Amino acid sequence: MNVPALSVMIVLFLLVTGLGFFSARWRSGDMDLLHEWGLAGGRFGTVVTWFLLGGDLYTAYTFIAVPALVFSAGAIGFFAVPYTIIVYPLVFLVMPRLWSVCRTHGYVTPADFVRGRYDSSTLALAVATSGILATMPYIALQLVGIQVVLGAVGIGGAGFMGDLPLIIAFVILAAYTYSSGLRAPAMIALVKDALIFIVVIAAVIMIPAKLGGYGHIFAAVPREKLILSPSQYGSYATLALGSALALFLYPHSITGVLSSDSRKVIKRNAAFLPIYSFLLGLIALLGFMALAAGIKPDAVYGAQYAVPALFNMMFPPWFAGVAFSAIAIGALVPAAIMSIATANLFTRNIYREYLRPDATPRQEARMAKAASLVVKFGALAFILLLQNARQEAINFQLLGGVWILQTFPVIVFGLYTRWFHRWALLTGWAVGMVSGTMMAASQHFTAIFPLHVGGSLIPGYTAFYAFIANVIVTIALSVAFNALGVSNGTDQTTAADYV
Amino acid sequence: MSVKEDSSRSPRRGWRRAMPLLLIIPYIGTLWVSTYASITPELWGIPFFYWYQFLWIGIGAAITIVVYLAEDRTRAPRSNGGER
Repeated sequence: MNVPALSVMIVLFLLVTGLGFFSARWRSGDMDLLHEWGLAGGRFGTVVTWFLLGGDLYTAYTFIAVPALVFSAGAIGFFAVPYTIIVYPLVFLVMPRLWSVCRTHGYVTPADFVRGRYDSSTLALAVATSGILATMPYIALQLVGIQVVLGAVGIGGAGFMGDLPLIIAFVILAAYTYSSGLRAPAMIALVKDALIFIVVIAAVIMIPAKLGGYGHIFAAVPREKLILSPSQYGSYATLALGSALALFLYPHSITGVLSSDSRKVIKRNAAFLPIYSFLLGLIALLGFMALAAGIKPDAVYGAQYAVPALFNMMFPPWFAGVAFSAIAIGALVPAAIMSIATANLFTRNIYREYLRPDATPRQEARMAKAASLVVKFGALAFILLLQNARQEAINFQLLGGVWILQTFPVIVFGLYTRWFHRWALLTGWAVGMVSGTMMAASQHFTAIFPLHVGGSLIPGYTAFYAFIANVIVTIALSVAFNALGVSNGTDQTTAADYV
Repeated sequence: MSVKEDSSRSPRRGWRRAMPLLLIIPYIGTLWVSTYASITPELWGIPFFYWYQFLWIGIGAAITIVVYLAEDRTRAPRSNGGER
């Protein structure tokens, strides 16, 4: 067991936990109200929103999963960079419209908007279900991240001890989300980002210096990993595009957007969040640094151990402890935001809609807190059931993308036009969900599906292929239903609500 | 708290209203993979594939800032009642 690293981790963890509980009182509101617990009252400005959205984006995905993919599969793992480049223009254009319409009508979740826009609680249920389902594997990825760093300081081992890091990760996450809602993660995000900046700057300066510079690192990477083969171009582009289209449909990203206090805050963030993308690119290269340092895939954690192993090799033990804390807290914060957002979604759009229409605000808040626990158990189930995907944790996030991307036509098209018919959108969604799940299952829940078109093979991101099927069905049926004059419901919103 | 957009369009502001189209550029720059999937030209030993994409992080952010500023000026004359 790495005692110095573990001690540093425990100290930083206690500090952050204290901050989390303290933050429940920050700009305080009534924690028994869902709006307060789950959206912090909608009072966040540019800076806090930047940290909150950054916290959503830069997670165990960034620190563990992406470098692990670069380490094991090479250049294809770098798709995360174009992904985080092209997501922001989309946020800039689309999210202010969502913010405005939600603010005008008091919508708290994406499904609230869908219900108001299309006059269909069935369509809202579809969106809510996708959101909850898709977030579970994303939380699973965070739990795997925490588990890996706990493994790196020597907690764990064979048999029951092997599951201990996962159990610890789960309990910590559950305990502190439950008590203070969205305020805890927003406050902790500040500390987390400070830690991450320190660690990344140290890593991208110290490690290349020890390995003889970036030129040496790239020279040590085998050519087939260094550059994409032409057959990978399609996968690379669709992974980037599919991930970018999906990101801001996740309930937790929308929570981050809705808790900001103006449209301008969102637009400014679209301009300044790319600072994180730069860090993400550097972190991705840690995968190559691990290769250059001669690190081999770990027997228990596979390629995901590459970065922790690199830190253990390159940093003094106490600083490795700081780095592991950064990763663990960087997984904890988004996991908490994710579970809060899905809990909001469940409470507003399933519990109140179908189970207890007459629930009081207090009952709602209590239900949301309970639901946030259930979602975390769902995440745990993904880890335990998909042992295959667990070896490459990025598959969890990509699997979430398959499901959440199917809500794109309903939400994003819906922000611009009511031409699409609600039943066409529902059918398109169902086609996307079923075909996407089947494609993913056929590849053992890895992300790339080898599509055969005519005589040629076009591998690409499953989510993207399912999305194309979804859009085609949605358009074709909208033409048909509109021509037949099938009722398209009454729109609660007006054009002025979106700008 | 509804926020309403200025519906009067003066011709001088017309080009500013087309600014959001600039946001397509990063998509072309990054999704057309065959144009940049090569090792050369290297920069300080870093293959083209990698430094090219790092460059686009900056270009993408710059474009977003330009579009933001253009929009901000379009709305400036009535900023009191408009967005915060």
